[in-house]
Amino acid sequence: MNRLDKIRNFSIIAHIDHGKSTLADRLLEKTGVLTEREMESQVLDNMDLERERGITIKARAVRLRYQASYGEEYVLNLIDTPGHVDFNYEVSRSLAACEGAILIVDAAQGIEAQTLANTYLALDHDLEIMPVINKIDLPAAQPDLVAEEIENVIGIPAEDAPRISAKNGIGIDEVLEQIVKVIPPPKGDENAPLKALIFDSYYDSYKGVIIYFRVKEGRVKAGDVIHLMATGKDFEVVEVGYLHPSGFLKCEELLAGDVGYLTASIKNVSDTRVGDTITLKKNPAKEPLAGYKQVNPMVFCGIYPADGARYEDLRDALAKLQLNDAALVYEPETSVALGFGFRCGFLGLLHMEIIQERLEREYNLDLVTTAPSVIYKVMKTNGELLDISNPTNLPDGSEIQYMEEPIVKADIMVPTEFIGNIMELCQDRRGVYINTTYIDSTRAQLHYDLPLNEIIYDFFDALKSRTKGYASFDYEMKGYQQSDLVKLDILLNGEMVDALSFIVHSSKAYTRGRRIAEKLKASIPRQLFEIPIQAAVGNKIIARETVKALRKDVLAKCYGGDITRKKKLLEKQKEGKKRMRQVGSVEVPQEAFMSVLKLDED
Amino acid sequence: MKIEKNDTYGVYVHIPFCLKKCSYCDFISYPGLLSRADCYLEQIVLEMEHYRGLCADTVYLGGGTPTCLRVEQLTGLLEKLRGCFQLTKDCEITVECNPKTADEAYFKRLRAAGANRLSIGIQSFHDEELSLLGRLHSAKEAEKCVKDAKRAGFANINLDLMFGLPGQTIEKFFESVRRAVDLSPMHLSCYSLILEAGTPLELRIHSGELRLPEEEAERAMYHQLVSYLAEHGYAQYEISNFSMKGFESKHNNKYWERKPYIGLGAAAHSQIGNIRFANPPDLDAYVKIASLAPLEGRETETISPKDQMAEFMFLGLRKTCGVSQKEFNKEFGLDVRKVYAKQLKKFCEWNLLEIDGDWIRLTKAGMDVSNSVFCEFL
Repeated sequence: MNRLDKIRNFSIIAHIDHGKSTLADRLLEKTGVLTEREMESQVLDNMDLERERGITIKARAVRLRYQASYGEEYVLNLIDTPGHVDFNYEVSRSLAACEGAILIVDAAQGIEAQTLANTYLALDHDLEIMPVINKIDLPAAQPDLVAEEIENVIGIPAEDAPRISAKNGIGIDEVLEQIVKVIPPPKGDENAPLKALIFDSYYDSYKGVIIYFRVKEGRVKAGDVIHLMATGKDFEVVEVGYLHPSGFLKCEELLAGDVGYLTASIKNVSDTRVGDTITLKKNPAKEPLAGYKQVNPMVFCGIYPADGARYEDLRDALAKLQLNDAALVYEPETSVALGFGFRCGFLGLLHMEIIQERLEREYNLDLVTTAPSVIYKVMKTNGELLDISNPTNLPDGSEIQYMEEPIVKADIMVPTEFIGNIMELCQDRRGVYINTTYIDSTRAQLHYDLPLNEIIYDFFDALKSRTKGYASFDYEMKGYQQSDLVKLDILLNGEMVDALSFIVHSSKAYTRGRRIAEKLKASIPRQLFEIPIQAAVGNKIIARETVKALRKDVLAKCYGGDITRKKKLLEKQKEGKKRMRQVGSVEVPQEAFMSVLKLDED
Repeated sequence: MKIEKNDTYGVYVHIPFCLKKCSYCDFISYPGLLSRADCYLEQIVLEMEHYRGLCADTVYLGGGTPTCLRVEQLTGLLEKLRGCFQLTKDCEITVECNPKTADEAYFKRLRAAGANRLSIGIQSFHDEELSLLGRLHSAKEAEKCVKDAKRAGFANINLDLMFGLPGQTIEKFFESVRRAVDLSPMHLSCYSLILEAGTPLELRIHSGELRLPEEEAERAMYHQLVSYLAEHGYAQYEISNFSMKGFESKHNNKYWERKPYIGLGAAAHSQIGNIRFANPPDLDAYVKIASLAPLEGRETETISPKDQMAEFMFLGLRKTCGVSQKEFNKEFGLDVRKVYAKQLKKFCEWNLLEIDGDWIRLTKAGMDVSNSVFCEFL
């Protein structure tokens, strides 16, 4: 056997919660590299946040050694993939580094939207798919049915699919045997000029940027000067090696077919884009590997510190997060209502939520965010074309010839009993129905074209609440489409609140304006004067609510000379005022800004 | 802390015992511990020793329900106070009481022991409202109580009433007001019900079982009360207090005018100079520190000049006459119009405060939202 025949490069793909991380753990355990005691559960997901959400954000690669039942020893490179639509491009690059993929399907839940999306992605990369049916120990498990479903829906044989319980360690040996049997070994000429695919990179404060890559052709070692073909940057390699479950292991060199990491005193992850091709400065490859593209943020929002004094902290935190996340973009902006903050761009909704949560948790920041926006294309009457991600920058209506908004192709997997509810929801969100595919008698996949701005508000929540949590959802960008869009402004006591403005389809302006006015009414406390809340499109008021003036605010009996207590009560009341944002003469609590982000509730 | 010998003090004694806790009450009071009253009173006697010889022009026995003690316990206490402090000739000596805990004989003995003012917790003249409030007496018993007090020789009587009760209408409230006025007390305290967190009444309202009157209705009760009482000779002199001329509560005025007062007993507060200190509310904790020197073992606050000014404003503004600019300027050596320029401008513009010669006071509208005004002086 030659060297390549003993290597298997593979990923695990699955819908969230179907057991990807747990199976990865078992594989690591079985290949003897970690004892149970040594093993922290789910070593591949090493950020707390990922663990809590049960998703994996950054791809990692681990090298396992496996002694097959007939004695031969294999190197198995497990390349982990992020499990969410926002990170589709990263997933596709991880898959491009593999020859095969284990497809995990939950024996109780069957195929879900992301199972399909990821499988198609894997098939696009000509990967060998190896189905595994997990959670067979659950009372609701129906492995026969799920096997049939895999064959019918995906069209790959599943009668030999290992039936396992990753959680309880059942069937793991069979999975390992099949990896060797089913997944083809890599190919590639180790003497050709170097071509290596970057599928992940992250910043380490000791080593600088660590690049994870798959060598497709050629070889690389410490001391080589590498050239990154998309960014055009050159670096001298300090270290090459691979990730052992217990940590980094240096090695002499990595050859065609290998998966590993390198460091080269790189300061910035934006120099090491996922999908880029590494070659050598001397004797470079003629052409890069196919498939590189720069990922662009699709969803934007303003992020402000709740306490204006923490602007610098927010700036530092964003800079630190960006070290590891080339997809996060931000630039300073100011809002009359919210002060100094940043307009941030994200790959999608989950990406946005993750960044917000990390800022709050890891950097202990209290944030106020504005409603998310997409990039609108605005054709001005003078022929100028603008990209608008902040509604405040939208030119006056008289200067606009037309506007375009981004449309996505959405696939929604849903139990058949909820099809009606979801169709209603999609219609309400201006969706264009494409078709329905039936998975089996109980589940269907609905295909819609939806405006992105209709799904960035609260579409997930709406989807879940209309299907008792059973629907799953996946989308990809389709393109731009001309649309009748307007800017909706909110006025408090006659003054416009810039942070509350947003762009909306004209048919939705009235309902949304009214809803926002109602939400604000509920979250703005009564003050010493009456506060009109108005929603306006241009000069036209389309909705109005009023926060009535405070009529009564008196303290209890001044009791037994306890003036200290009385003073404390007044101080508390004053503190409460301090935490509010001043918009003209109106005091607006932070919650009011946040309340307009979830309009679908109650 | 320097105790000024030449000052005149107010003395407050807290009697933290009750027969039963009212449903709205979050004051310090311990129903069912009456057996400990004798021991408690002994501690008060020890505590007052530190102030021996000081001059006092008001004494106030508050609670709790002081009259749930045996009358000789109260008269004994009054005797000790009289022996310890130099009471002025016109000293106002108030005892708080609840109907049903005292009869004519009881009042006679209090009167004989020197008490000259009674504050009776009537709250309402509707039995269903009384039971809602967790009061033990009926409307009839309340009336009898007032009559007993008068027969016993009390001329200076205050009645407490509450409004804004769950289910209360303006009409119902005014029936109570009329019946109170018919008893011709010299003083009326009328409090808007404040729901204190965790009290049984608050829980019942929070759960939706009971409903408070609409704010508009509640304010209408208050506004009509002010006019009605004025027509019947009761002048409003503070947000919640009304009296016949010359019968304002001297003791309560001390709090609003930042005069020195000494608090004795559990949870009692004292203010001497710029120091305010509080006894622990817990009975056992109080017993442990009662005999210690004034500041020892007590929660103490030194009031900063800034807070002194704020207190001058938010306490003084409770009174209908308001605060005197001259007095402020004299006391602090600063011009009140400058110190609070922003607040005065804003609230005068909004018609919540008015400046009338030397006086700054809340307007009628300002009284309704007094907290919102006060907190900006902090």
